[in-house]
Amino acid sequence: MTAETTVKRHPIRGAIYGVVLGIGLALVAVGRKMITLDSIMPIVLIVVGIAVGVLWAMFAPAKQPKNPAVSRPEELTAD
Amino acid sequence: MSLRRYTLVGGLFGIVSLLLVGFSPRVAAQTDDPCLDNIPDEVPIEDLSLDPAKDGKGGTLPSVLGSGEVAGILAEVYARLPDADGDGFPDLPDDAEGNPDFDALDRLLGEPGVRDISPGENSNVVTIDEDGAVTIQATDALVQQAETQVRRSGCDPGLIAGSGSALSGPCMGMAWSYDKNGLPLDQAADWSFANAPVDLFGDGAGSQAFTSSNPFRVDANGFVIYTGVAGGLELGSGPRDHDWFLQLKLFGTGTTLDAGGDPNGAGENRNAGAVNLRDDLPAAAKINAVLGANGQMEAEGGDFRCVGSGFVDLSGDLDPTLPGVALAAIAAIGLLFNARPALTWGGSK
Repeated sequence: MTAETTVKRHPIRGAIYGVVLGIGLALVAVGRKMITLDSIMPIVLIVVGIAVGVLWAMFAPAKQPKNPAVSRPEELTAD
Repeated sequence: MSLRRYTLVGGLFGIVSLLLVGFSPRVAAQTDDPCLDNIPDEVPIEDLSLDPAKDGKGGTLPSVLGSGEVAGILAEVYARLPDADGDGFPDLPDDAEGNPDFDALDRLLGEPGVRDISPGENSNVVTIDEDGAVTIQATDALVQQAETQVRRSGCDPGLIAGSGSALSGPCMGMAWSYDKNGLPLDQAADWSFANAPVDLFGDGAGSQAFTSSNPFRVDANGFVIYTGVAGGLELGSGPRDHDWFLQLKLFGTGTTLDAGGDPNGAGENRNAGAVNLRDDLPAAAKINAVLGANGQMEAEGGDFRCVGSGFVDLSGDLDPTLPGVALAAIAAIGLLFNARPALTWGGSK
């Protein structure tokens, strides 16, 4: 028998960080006068940030486990 | 001719220039009223230009003012604030410390309309009736009065013109912008019925002014001087019983900034004024951003109508760039190390 890995995803965290990313990008764009406050571009940037965050949280390359697999006691005593 | 004789009928050009001093978040209350908030964003710039043949002239102003007529209007400003160095910008005198004397701007201030909401009045509406009695209303009343004024002035905001600008109708004028040291920053004028305002100073000189790509530059610690004419050139030809409003274009909607009106029984037709941004603009509003605004004035039962739409490049103390970079960095770190999928030991076979 061998230990198997499963992928744990964090779409909620991704969305939250995405909101922060979108707000940050919108502030930079407004401050650098690349966009005007009259348009919906600041809101679009926030939505894009959320999308990036969720997609990253779902489909980014997964991190490897920090620790080696721990065998269960019954595995140690099998046979 | 004394500018004191003129009431606040200085045309929409002056009103649009007033947008910054009217930038009071307290007034900018969002409502569900489509008359106030839902401004169609798809109105093309061409549709903003009023056609004198179709829309009526609403006054006796020529379609385009001649140089002599313009000079006559400007002379009234220069009589109050002389252009000492001949650069075309009225100059503020220096105070005792050698800085621009902002108090001298009071020389240009006209009398407010009886229905005007005073900008920057600490959340209150100051109303002066025809007998000179002063009434101060609370914040709720201010918001309600703003809404009333928007409806009185036509309730037809449809003014947003994408990235363009417009000042259309029998309202014409000029604006000068200065930095905090009193040095010239920008200048624009519109002396025609239907054409867009023109940039007269700096890199964009000669091109259309107040557009998103060539916004009117304003220092949040400086000041703006404006003058305008509405209705006609003759004394007594100004719009009677006029109402106006200003809206800030914000995220695809409009938010009322300021509004007002006046019976103007004497038909006074000119105004010159100053916007003291250093003292009147709230500190929280002194940001670095390009802002858009709409304005409209109607009078005489709708026969008189001016509309305006444009952009202002505000240079202030609050730059959202650094906080934005910090937030983006925090988000990037979080996404990399806290939101990335992770492999976990999920069991065995």
